[in-house]
Amino acid sequence: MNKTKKWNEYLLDYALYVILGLMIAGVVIAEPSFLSMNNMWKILAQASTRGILALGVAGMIVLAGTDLSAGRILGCGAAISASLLQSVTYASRMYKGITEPLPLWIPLLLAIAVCVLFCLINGFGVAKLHMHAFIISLGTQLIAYGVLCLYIDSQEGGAQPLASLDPRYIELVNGWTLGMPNLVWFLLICAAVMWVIWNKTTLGKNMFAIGGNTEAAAVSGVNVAKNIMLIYLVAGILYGVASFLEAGRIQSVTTATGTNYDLDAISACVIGGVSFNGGVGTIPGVLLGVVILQVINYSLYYLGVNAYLQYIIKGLIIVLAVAIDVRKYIAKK
Amino acid sequence: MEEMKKERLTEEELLEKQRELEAREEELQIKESKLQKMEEKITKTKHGIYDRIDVSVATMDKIIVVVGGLLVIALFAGIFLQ
Repeated sequence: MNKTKKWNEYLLDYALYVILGLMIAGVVIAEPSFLSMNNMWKILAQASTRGILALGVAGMIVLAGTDLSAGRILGCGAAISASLLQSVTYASRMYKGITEPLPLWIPLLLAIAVCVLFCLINGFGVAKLHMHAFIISLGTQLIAYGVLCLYIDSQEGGAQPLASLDPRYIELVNGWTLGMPNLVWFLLICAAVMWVIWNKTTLGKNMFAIGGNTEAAAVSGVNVAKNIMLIYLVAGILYGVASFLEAGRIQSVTTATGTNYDLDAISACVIGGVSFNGGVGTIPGVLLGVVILQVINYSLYYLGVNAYLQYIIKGLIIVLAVAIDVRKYIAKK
Repeated sequence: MEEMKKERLTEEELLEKQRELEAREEELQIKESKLQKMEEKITKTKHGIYDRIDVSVATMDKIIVVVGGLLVIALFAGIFLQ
């Protein structure tokens, strides 16, 4: 009886991974070509920019908050990167005054600056005004979307896609180094930096303390407001990097760029074990969640599942992941 | 005996000591109540969103089974009913 109970516990705790594992096994059996290295690299490259975004969002979820504006903020950063790095020979480029290709670090820094600004607005709302992250990020999401639309619409020819990018930019983002796509390298570097921040710095310890119990953290001498602002600052930097890479990856930025990216990032974090209750999460978990989500997206597309049904499936995955998280919390209590 | 008589406190000194003790006791009580309030703030506040959930583990198990079942059905429907 005890053994059966133990098995049931394991099954329930890992139900999501079991179901998804079986699904992926089914896909591989039905389409063996799914497991090709080419497909795997495609999946990882697509997952990379979302993964960097998820690393930023994860910090906010650990703080027992969330960020619904991540996607739109990424869109703004991507628009700035793309507009400044359009090919100088492209007649319909946004900044006709730029006749020499800009160094790549300038648009990157500007994209980071814009993303950090939006994130600091969110952080200010949470840290100083004690607003719930859901509410402030909902507002910022709309503001960022408005800014994105106005920016793209400000072009001479109206709201046309920002395309025809500088070949150096495309090569940096989509190239390969040492047998791996550059995008995957960027994700691994960002993940390594975040792992150090989360596990080896005072900021990381304070983040988990605040997320676990804000009052206890404050009583223990943690400057809650300052640490929350720093977490949002770090997230802004990550969004900026992700936006720069995403613009180079898709090579055509529109007002729709970044739509639902935040939901994907939040889903990846939840699947990867970052608890909405706060104070719980790991960097490898976030990466795993990102890869699993991307594999699901890819395999559903590969199998030709109806696009509308894909929404239902992804929604059920999120609900299941949260239900399992809640169950673990209640069982521990 | 002589020494004991010398060390005896007078009535005034006794009253003084008593007043001191009572003042210290009051201070201690104030500190204790402050500590208690801090402890309550830390332990009893529903700081996490999951603290507000008043559901048993068994009920959560049923929810997980149902949602998992719906997910499997949705996957089957998506793959085989095209």
